[in-house]
Amino acid sequence: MDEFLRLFTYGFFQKALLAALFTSISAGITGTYIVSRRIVFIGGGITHASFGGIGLAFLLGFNPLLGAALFAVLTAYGIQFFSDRVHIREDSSIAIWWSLGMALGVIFVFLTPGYTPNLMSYLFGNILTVRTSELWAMLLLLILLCAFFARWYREILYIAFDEEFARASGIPVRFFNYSLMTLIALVMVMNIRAVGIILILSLMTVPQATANLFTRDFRIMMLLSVVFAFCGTFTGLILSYFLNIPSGAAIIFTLILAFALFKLLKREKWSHARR
Amino acid sequence: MEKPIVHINHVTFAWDQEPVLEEVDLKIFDRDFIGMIGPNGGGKSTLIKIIMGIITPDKGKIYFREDLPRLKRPIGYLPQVKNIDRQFPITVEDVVRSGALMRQIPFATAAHEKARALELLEEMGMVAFHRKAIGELSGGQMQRVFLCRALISDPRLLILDEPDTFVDNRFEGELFEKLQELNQKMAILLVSHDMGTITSSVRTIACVNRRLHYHASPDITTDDLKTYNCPIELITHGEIPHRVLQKHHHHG
Repeated sequence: MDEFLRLFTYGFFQKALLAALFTSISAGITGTYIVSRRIVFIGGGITHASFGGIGLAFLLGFNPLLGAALFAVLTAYGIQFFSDRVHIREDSSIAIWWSLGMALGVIFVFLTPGYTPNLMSYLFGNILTVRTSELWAMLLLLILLCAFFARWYREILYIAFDEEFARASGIPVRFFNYSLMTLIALVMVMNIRAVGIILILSLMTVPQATANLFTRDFRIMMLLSVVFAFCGTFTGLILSYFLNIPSGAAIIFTLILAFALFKLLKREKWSHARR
Repeated sequence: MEKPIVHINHVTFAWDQEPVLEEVDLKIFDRDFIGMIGPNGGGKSTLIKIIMGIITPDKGKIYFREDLPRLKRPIGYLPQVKNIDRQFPITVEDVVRSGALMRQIPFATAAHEKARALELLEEMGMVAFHRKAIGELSGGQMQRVFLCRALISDPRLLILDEPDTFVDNRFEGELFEKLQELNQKMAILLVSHDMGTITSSVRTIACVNRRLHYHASPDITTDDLKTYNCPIELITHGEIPHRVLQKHHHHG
């Protein structure tokens, strides 16, 4: 217990805790959007393609998150553009961008001379080593995201629910779609630090699935997702520290366990109610 | 002479070189009640999208009467329920309020908007469901909610896209009564495959199969349909005799 309390006085742990909080809020909000719109696999394409940017950054020696952001945003636009204009089926378009990014990443990392020690932390995340500058970037992005959703909540909801109707009413649907994809791509990149490229997607879908057990109101689903995401990341963070396992995996494991538990509890309650 | 509220003038449209609509003309007047029929893929949905401004025609234009506000098209739209994602996390109240986007003048406050939404739901007997998720409703209940969404913008033209599919019989009767009542205040364009619906409620018929043929009466015969080159798969109800197979008047 003593050690547990002392943990909160360590600078690195305080930073990790803040990162967990920022990550949970941003993933809770954007995740609700992508789950509701059924564009989870666009998210998959974006996160995996961002590996290309990380590889490029290793090769040329600049900040890997910048490279990831570049690739993530380009992929988001690429997928949208391919299915809008080039008439390629959306799922095929996702697969093309997804694998292109990964392939480029592998080539870049291979070409990088010497050993690339941090590679694993980008693939699987390491929230315990998050830097102050990264926290600032996360906070800035979070403020931008919250402001965007607060200002245009209804427009976002209506476009997601019935895009055609929204277009008929004259909302600039394309502007919203591209802006939201940009924000989502950036949120994903910022969350690479917490859970890593491979696991980001679950942070944006598992808490939402849990929230969806209790509500089918978009606004409440966002709030609940944030709560579940934070409980999961916090618990995962503690587990990661004490068991000395990678934070990303610990977090995702906790989230899925929570989902399974609530799902079972709910079924129990249901079958009681039915009798 | 009375001017039409909407005038579709020589509209031509193609998807990827494939012509869907050719030289389509239609005038919709105040208090018209037009039934739109035609084969699947004949261009009905495309024409509706053009009227609503979702797509722009390749040739031709849509005119709205000068006295109508310019800002937004004065249209209420009831989509096909089967195109709605039933899993989407949105409440009934929010669905109705989304219709306020189509208003010429937005409600002064969110509270006004909410009050009007609840009032409309009350009229449709759906107010008890306003906190429910859209997916928890039956097909007929969903259509009532979407009718509220269409009406919250005080439209001059109400477009209904096949409202008779997936609807329970009880609601169908209520819906068509409601439409007659609404028709006192607005024009109605009703897309349907159901000849019973068409002949019992509309006043005129538009057959759409690439071209549009206007039939100034609700009675239409298979011969008419042949002349209009408008083969349709009709839904008929049991052995109830149908006007569609019999009389042959008002031709052209």
